[in-house]
Amino acid sequence: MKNVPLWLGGFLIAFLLFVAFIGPYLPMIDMELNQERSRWVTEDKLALPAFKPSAKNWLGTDKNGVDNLSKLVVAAKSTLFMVTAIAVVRYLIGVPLGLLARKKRGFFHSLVSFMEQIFSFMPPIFAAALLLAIPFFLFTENRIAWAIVILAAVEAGRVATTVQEQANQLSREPFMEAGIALGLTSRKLMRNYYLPALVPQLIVNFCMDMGKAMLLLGQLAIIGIFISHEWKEVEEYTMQFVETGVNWATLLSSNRMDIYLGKMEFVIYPAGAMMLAIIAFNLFGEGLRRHFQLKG
Amino acid sequence: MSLKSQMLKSTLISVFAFMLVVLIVLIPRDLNMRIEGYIVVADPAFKWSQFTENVYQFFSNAIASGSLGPSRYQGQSAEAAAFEAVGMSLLVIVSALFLGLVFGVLKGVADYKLSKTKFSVFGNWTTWLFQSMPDFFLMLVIQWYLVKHVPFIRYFAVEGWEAFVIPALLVSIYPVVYIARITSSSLAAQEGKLYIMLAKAKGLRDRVIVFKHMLLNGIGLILTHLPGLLVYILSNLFIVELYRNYPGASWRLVQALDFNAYTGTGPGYEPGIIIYICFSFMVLFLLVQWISHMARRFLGPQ
Repeated sequence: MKNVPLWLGGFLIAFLLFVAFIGPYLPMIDMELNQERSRWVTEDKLALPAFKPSAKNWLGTDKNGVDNLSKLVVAAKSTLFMVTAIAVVRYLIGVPLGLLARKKRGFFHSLVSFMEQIFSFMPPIFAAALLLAIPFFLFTENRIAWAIVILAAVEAGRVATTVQEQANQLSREPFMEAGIALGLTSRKLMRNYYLPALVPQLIVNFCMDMGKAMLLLGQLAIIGIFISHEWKEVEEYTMQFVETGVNWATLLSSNRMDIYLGKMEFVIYPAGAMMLAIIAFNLFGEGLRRHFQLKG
Repeated sequence: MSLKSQMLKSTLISVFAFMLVVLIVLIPRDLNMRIEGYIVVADPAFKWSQFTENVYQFFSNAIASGSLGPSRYQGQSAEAAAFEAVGMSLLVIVSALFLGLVFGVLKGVADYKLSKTKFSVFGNWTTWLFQSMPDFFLMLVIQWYLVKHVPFIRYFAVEGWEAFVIPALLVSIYPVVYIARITSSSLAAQEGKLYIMLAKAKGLRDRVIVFKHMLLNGIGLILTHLPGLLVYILSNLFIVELYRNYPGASWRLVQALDFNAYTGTGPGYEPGIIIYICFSFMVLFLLVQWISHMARRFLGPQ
């Protein structure tokens, strides 16, 4: 029980997984997200949504009478899935590049610093917004897949640089020289010498990166660019991108105007859920770091 | 590699990266909407001819008139608008960096000292907590608290001291904890080194040892982390400017993107402004990178 962050982080992640996979089936959760357009308060008095928090709706409802808590719980699964996907793609791009660039010279080194630089000249979130607003990406049917790739690519350079730095440090260790002196091929060297030594650090960083991916999703929600949407006719001859899919980012973005009106009642919940997830990932990462006894 | 060629190389890579950014900004963003029967259809296909035309137009205009084009406001050129916005942000960035350096180092020293007492929870853990909290949530809570409970601070003020002090303070939160973390880990790493023992043996007081010996050694490390810190600040600035409607560079970037749910990137798209602001950020980044190269060379661990 000495490793408090590991236990706490593990508990929080278990809680998130519970909410995501079992939560929708709990009795107070309305999985279908039904709208309750009106409600009888007394025999002769009808009330319209949004309803205040009550025993039936723990966090109240929105303007369409959809239960807020249900929305949060139902949205958890796709949010966690998206964050994981972004982090995985990011590492699939970043780790090989970083390993190839470990000597800190040559083509791959330039490529890695190039990738890191492009997205340093503007806030990462704006880079993502700039790309996601290109018409092709707005209309493609696989927008969500593209969005995951873009959000991953924006920070893949940073991951590659970190891996490069660590691999470079490793290459100076005595056991590496032993491997080289044995005349191992570079593939064998990679598989048996670099990767085993790098894996603990990679796992730790991966956890923290899940938090960063979530941060990016949250920021994107604030400027109202949707991850998944459909181009629909909302009025005569008026087309609009309408958000599809429920995740914490969409919940945040559909309520973002409340920030300017000083109405923080609902915005705080999806933002708070995202924070809980970020803290959970970071705690777990920190715990793993202690478990593997890596330096901070 | 020598310092000069290192600096030259990072400059070259930056210039290439910037060129790619310019090309991304100039990708055609018209939806080409038209009515077909009873429904509006859009044509989002990417056309090379339109793209090359865009790039050619932009550069020939820039060379012919010496300007990056008009801004959305009549009589104001893109570079004037962008210059103003960058100026507003630069003020915040520089003061956040300064505040971050001063208070970050102090907090780092405090964390290091507290880690040896039973109050260590208040040291490294508070730093960790602030670093883990997502900026959009932290800013939301602070904003909510200030607006509801401290009404005498005019949170959204555009002039007066609040206009500048509030964003500077908010943006400096992350630099403070970032630097505090580096400082305290650098101090912890130096523990037990021979020169510290020698200083102790000479009978120097603890405070003198920490501030004169250990901190001076740690400064180099802090400076090498400046580029990473700048990325943090920019991302954080974005949220603060957006929440507060502070007309700085990040806010202006979003305005220049002119995104709406009806037409995607709207008619008010201002590529000139985006390019100018990215260019200024690139210069800033390059400057910080040079400082970090030099720090690694001259102040780094020998």
